[in-house]
Amino acid sequence: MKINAIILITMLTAAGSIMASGTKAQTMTDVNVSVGLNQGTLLSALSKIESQSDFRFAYKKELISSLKEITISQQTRSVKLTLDELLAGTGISYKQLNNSIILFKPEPTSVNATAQEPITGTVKDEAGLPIPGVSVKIKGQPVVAITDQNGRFSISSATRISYLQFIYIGYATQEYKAEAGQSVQISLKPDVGTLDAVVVIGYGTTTKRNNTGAVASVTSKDIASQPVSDPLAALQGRVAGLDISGSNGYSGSAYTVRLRGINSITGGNDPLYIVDGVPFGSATLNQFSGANGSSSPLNSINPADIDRIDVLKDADATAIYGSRGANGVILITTKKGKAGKTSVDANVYSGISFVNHKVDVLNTAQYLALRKEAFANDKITPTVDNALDLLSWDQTANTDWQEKLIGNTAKMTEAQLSLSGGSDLTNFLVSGTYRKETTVLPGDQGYQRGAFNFNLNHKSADNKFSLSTSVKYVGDQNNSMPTDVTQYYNTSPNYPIYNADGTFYWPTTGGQNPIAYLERQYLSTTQNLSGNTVAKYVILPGFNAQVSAGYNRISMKQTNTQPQSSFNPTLYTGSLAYYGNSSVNTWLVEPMLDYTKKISRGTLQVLAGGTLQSSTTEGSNVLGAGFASDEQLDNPKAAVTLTSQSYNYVKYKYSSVYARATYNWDERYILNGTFRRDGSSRFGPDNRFGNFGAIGAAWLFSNESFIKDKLSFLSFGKLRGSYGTVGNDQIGNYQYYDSWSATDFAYAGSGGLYPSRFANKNYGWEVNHKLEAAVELGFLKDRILLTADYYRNKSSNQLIQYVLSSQSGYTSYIANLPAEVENKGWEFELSTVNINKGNFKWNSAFNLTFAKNRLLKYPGLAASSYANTLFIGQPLNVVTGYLSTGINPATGIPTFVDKNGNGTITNPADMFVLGTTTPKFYGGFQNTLSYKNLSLSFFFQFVKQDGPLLNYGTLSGTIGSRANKDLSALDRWTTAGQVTDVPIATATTGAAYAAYNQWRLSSANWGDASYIRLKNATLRYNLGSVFKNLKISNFSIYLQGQNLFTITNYNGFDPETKGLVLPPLSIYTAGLQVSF
Amino acid sequence: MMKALQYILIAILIASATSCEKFVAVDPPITELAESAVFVSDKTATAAMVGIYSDMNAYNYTFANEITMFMGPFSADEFNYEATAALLLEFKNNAVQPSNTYNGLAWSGPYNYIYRCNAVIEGVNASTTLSTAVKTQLLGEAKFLRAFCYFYLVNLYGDVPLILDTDVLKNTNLPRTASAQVYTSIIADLTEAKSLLATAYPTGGERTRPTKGAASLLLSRAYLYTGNYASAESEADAVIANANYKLLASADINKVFLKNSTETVWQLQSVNVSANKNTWEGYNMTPSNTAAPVTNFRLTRDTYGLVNAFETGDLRKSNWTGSWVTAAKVTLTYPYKYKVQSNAAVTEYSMVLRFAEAYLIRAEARIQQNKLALGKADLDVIRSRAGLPALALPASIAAGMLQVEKERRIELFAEWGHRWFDLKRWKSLTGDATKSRADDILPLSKTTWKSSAALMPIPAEAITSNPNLVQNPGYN
Repeated sequence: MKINAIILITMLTAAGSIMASGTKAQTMTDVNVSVGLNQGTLLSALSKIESQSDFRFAYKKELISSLKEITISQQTRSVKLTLDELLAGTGISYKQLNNSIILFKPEPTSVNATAQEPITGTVKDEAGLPIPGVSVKIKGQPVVAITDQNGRFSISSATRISYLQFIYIGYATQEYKAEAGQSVQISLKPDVGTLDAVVVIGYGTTTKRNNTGAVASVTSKDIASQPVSDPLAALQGRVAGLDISGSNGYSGSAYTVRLRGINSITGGNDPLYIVDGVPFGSATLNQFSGANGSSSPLNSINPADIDRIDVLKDADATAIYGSRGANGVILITTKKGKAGKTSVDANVYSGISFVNHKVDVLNTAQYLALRKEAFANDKITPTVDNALDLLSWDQTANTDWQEKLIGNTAKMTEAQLSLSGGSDLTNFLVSGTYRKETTVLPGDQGYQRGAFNFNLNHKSADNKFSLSTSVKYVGDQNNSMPTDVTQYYNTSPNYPIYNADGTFYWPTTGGQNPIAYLERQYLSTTQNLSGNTVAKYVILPGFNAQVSAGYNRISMKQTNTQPQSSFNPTLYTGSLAYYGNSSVNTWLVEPMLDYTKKISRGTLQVLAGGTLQSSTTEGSNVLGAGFASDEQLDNPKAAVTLTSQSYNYVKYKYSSVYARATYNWDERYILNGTFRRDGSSRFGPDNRFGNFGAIGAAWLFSNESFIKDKLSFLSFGKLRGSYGTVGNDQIGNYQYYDSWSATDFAYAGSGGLYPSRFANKNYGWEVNHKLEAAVELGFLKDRILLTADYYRNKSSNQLIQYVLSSQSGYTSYIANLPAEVENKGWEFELSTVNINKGNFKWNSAFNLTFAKNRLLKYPGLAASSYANTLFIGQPLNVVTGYLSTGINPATGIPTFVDKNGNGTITNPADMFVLGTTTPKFYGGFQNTLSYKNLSLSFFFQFVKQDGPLLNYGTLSGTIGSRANKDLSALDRWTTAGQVTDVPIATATTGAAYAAYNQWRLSSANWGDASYIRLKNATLRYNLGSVFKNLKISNFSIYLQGQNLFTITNYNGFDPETKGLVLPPLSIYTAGLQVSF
Repeated sequence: MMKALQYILIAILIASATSCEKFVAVDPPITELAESAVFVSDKTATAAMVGIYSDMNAYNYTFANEITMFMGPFSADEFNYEATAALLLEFKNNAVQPSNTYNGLAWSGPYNYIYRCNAVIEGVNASTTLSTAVKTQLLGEAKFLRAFCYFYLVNLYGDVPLILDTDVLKNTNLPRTASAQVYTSIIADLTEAKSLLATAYPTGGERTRPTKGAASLLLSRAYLYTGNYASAESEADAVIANANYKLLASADINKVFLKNSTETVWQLQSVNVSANKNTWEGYNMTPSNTAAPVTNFRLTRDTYGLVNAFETGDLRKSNWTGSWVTAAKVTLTYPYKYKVQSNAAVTEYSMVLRFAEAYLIRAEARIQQNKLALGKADLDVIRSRAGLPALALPASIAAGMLQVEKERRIELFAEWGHRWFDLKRWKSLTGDATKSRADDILPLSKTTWKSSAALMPIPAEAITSNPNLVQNPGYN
């Protein structure tokens, strides 16, 4: 309540007499209120007191308007104590007048000027070990002290009574009321996901308490405990709504990342990644793939350098990224320097990894019996041409191909060293990481990575100007295979590897010798250099200008060498080498202004800015052939012919203006509006700009007095919702451009040209309408925090490769279609402090996502090229196949539902929707237990989904073909009348052979691929106290495990990666961390 | 200092807030050429045309080599594929699935070239800057190649959509056009191409771009296939009278498929020679090691097989086929017209139109017109070059046609599906008008033959992307 100055003065002069009249007013010591403030304004605190009591405040506006960024802990105190704490150090006094409390500034007296005795003390952590580097501040005074080696500090206050604040990253800030000369013992508690922890959002920060959008955060604590090389691997299962699946178990393999489902039918569905403010392309740079597939550029971000990852999900959070936010935004913030004593942190771990699940296959006797049976069934006599394994190969040799190809134990080591420190005004961080892995394959393949991170921060003495600069470099080298050798798991067990003379054996009928295949090499080196600088200037209090500039260059060099010895000489004599080179250079400049102002009982924050971004992508692939020697394959100069296989050059430019306004009224009602106008070079000149925006709102109903009084068990309650539109521009470049390109080869002395595309100059943005509603609840003083989100996103104006009938000369062109895709779902996040008694603590975090994807409408679907791949009401990524009706007991031949009833089974007429690979639900369950210096954490990931089984797909040979089978082949049909679900053996042709080719694509080989995986477990013991005298602040030893075991019914290698690919490896490491 | 920073920041803010429009306009990609710049110079317009030939022969299994290697010979009775690649077995068993990839390429490939021919025709016609000589030649080549593509489409699939312009959105939904009408278009295009194209090959003697002779030869074939025997004869006359072409002597029979041989009417130049290959045909069908030859492409060796169809002493058997004996004492024979499997030096090009065919066309056209002696004489020209004696004068058209059938089978085997098309276009000797010669012959060696297999299925993706296309009978 505001009262103007005249009334105030009148009241002040009358105060004494009124007080003396002794009315029945409540006293400030009797009435308790519960007020907590995190970087809040005094005004909001006063409002809270007003809302919880009958007291009303009177003051001069100028007196308190400058009092911001006040933090006091949420607890119940008397009004008097609350005010004491709030006003400590501000020089403001108060007086009660009936139910009014008047704030005023007393005339300065000379008494306060006398220096006080310093306050001293020690700061310890939860384990009782001293913490160096803790900032100790006195509220309201420009005095700061830092704890020393032994956690000790000494600070002088201007007042007798001081409120000390102890601030340390990763720990909850604590306050302590101390008298001059007092010796203080404080122990800090780790900051476990409190509501007031910082959450990074687009172009700013907020807190979980005040956020109007859906944002989930993963911090370095969870990332660092996983011995993985790709930050995406560390995110698996940890964020509701974020579905991450690996493609294989090789180092540097790509991950499929879907945040709240698939929005686009043919465009990209990757979220937008922003690393320290600079967009990071998720498109692979590979010119050709290796065994790990096409690697993701994200793999060139060092997980050890990541401070936190924030996942922005709804319109409120993503609309500030406009045309690129449709698939969600993942913000990666790297570690920064911090003020404090110069400290060194070293961390080393080393361990092993291996394939922990193999597919059981037939032994030689079983295999040969099967082959003979197959030929007998086909009524074909085995000959040298069609049955080398029966007629020429050793009938007793029994090679375990999985053991041979992927059965080794890989070793890995990672070492991290960082140095940081500095003053409040200038501080820095320098860190380096080296990682080395070997593989489970035979041979000397391996992966190495080195990373360097440098950050420097500076503030001017008047706190008006600040500058932060980071430079990061990551270089890696992946020495691997051109393709995954796991596919040879089914090589005949009696396949001869070598001839008698020691040379590789080659079947005259063609085919690959898997061991000779290992002669091929795939070498890729990636370098990622990025730098960014943020300069900020406080123009007026509350009004800041900032400019950030970033640069990022990722380059990749690949070599794929295929020596003559790796080719079946009946098929090819010669050697080959491919040389790939690619790079992407991005620069970005983002000016920004932000302004904060109190309006009435609320705070308005306004932000406006712009973006200019330019990216250049370039790549080439050259094939060398005709080498004189296999030793020279790495040298392009040694090739007789060098042929350019491809060359690509793409320029992408982007400019935007954006604005956001947030109004927080009384910590109760928060309204957030976002707008962005984007221009992208990916669109034709007439359709280059688009507008996007969102509205978000939150109601912190737990701050309403009627809730406070009635529902005291509810410590936090918030309802929030948002609606907005965001876009997707992942549709490739130049698609509007009407042009001709060079053919691959010249002809008759002239270069050749072909029309590049059927150009459509009119296509525009794909628009995603996102709706979100959520409730966030905290119980028992926030020991239990629950968030439940409902979202419904509709993507329309789909930019699709509109398929043309090839008779037109083209097979597709890009156009907007009023098709609509819906993603909706529920997300739940629950974090609990289960036990917190003395030395024993047990925290849990659980997340669960139910997501549904479906195509709502697609005009003209039946006549389109998607007629057989998309279905109204079904998810976009459905898989179709024949519907198995079992095995005919009379013939052993698989039978299927004849959908069109014409007597034959054909594609696509008799295809059904088998299912989708999108999970029905998924989530994760984290537990952290600690007892004194010992802590244990383990994390389960679970996914409920369907998928292709082991024998699904066109690579699955018939039971009886010259390829080994899993043990299910033992249940094959053999005699008339036998009821089984495994077809008859067949080796070459015939009805059974043809039917198998359909059976392998049928519902019989599609099924449950759900799993529960112990994704990570970490056991850590802190020996810090033992080394206290050696100035070592932290000395921990730990054991870590990744992908320890999987509970699943899946019959293939792995339910996550599926298919015939190297499964994710089980990793066991032991490590040591020392800080001093 | 602080003031200066303040000004710099504000200046950056203002500067970057303006001129967004300009910023996002990117230059055309350096890897592409604007359409408006293509038909401006003779050089780029020529590149637009020869780009088609380059793509026709750039990769394995483009229709320009897959018809020769498997669609034709396996579907007919020339090759006996003894490996187990399902896609090839479908041709051998005359049970081609609409999803068959090779069949798909045989449809989409020519249609892509047809679009580009249409673009060249439209671009050249609209251009005001091209020289007359280049304009004439490119128009001739584009019309020739458009007819060439339709010829193969109509023979593989029957009725096909007839697309003669670049209106993509209209063309994508066009239904099939009656094959007679397609032939009318083929003949019109070839007639025009013949008048536009030059007779002489360019200096340097490369026979890699179509000339008047190529147009005449294809035109005579189109007349022959449509039963216009008189015109077929006169067009073949024109080719035979053309001084550019000469049958090689018997002693040089192994040089017929060398690049730019005098029997070449049109060859596709070897491109993509990185694997030391010359032609895809040689690369795929010729064994890499002729001392211990192994190849999956083997001539049929049953009673009715191609191996047994050669007469004793036929130079074509001794020179154009190779063989080896397996451990089981079976002699296996492979096509050996192309000699080079891999060799860094390019000595062979892919033969598309060959002069010998002109004699065979004229022989058939003459016999059909009851000019039996003249027809026989043309066959004898071919036989004599192969070291074989002259034929007896046939007693009837039917007897003469059997001689034509045999001679075409031997001379043109493993080239551009001649045998497959012949068996389908000739009527059955049983007199059953609904049946073709294929129905007489193929059941002798294949249990899987059915009449409906004479037409390949319209590829599945073509059917699904154009609701107006109706599948050929027997494929639903």
